[in-house]
Amino acid sequence: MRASINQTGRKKIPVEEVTIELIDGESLLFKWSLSDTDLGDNFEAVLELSAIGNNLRQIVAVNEIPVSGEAKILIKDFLIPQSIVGRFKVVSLNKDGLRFITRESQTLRLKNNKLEGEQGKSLLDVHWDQQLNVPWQLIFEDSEPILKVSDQFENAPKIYSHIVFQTAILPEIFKQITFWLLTEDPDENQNIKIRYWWKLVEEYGLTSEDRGYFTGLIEKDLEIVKEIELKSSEVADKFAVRHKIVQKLSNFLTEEEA
Amino acid sequence: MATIKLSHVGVFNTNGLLQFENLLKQPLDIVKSEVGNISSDASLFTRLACDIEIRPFDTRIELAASLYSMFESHTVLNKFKTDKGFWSWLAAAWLPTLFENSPKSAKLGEQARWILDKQKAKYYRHLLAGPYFIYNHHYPNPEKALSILGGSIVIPGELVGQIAATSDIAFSVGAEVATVLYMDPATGKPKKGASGLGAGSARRLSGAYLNQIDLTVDYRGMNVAEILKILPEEFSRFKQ
Repeated sequence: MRASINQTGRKKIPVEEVTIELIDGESLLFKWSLSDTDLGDNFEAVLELSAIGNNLRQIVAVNEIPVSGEAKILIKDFLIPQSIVGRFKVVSLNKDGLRFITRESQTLRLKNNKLEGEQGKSLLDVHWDQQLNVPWQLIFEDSEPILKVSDQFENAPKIYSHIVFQTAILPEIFKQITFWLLTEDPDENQNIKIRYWWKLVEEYGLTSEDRGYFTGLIEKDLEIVKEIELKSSEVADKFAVRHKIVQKLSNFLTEEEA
Repeated sequence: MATIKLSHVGVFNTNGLLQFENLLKQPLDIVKSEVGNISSDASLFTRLACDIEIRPFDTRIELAASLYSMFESHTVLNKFKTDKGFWSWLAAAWLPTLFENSPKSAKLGEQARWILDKQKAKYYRHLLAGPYFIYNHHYPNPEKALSILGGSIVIPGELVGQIAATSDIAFSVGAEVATVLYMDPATGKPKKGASGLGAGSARRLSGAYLNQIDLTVDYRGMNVAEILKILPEEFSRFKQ
């Protein structure tokens, strides 16, 4: 992909050229593969990591950088590693101390963090089940959402990786998970994944007031259940918008017709 | 109020959090008198052996130093550093003491001040976890972030609202720039005009300057003196 230049004169580093991923709770792997390494004479390449409660700057290279490479970065002081987002920038160093950004990446999200990164794929933790007679089913075993995809004809990978499933079904799954969280209020102290589910749902627009209100109701009558359903739909809609679901489906159908 | 010595801390379970949430909807006097029932009800939290002292502090930095020391002395607590149940229990246990020497205008305020809300836009509002996270990040020189650690605990002030709200500023040299500009070294309190909407105010520094130049200048790689040199004229009155 060709680098683009934005209104401030900085060149954008194409999104596929730099990635970050968690190795474990104490370290992170930064990888780069740059199509353009003509970065001038006096520069620093800097990776900034930002998270809830922590920030970190790491100088990746000075004055020259290999076309591709990787760097392991210690993040043991980070309070919530899963909340890390990154920004890679190339900075031109001036004699007067000014540091101008000449190139930068888009916000980097953890490649292998199912919650912070590619949210859609986190829903594809498939539980193989030969007995499943429907294409997919969402269940809540052990107080966490589990997506079962039918494998009786060894079709599961085809189903869950299919664009139609990912565009037409995932928002519905997300809605069901939101509905479950708001009605069941599962104990997040018993299962850390529940915290991440709440965080994810909140990223898609559920406010803490909404959460407090719905989960705080000990008895939920039909009217409240309808309210929860509506709220869950709103969250799922936002999920669909964020992931450009309609556009992806539309593009797929157009390609199929062609 | 005398110092309260406890041999444990707690981690609220779901029911404990719910009870605390519900209590926080009540008037302050009721909350102050009843919160002890929740923070001491063994069915509402998991007990962790740990000696702590709950005592009044004047500023966020003193409270944060005490919390930092608590984590240093009890490594078993490290895994709870971001735990909602833990910070909320701690806030419940500390609540009456925090109001002990506070101005009459002090209010309970929003829930996120007491129950840790780990959204990026809200976590810093927690009255205990907020100062602790900042202190922890700037340690061993937390006084550099005095602009966001120097205020009262229950009434953190606008500097906290403006500077701590942007983590890229709060957890970088930006906090130190705000300290140099807005804190009076003689009194340890904010200079006149630091708050509000006026020229050179903290609101202008974060929203109208640092967050803007961040697009083109790598200011977080510069030192305080270098940043002060490039600040626009409107900030000059705070440089003295």
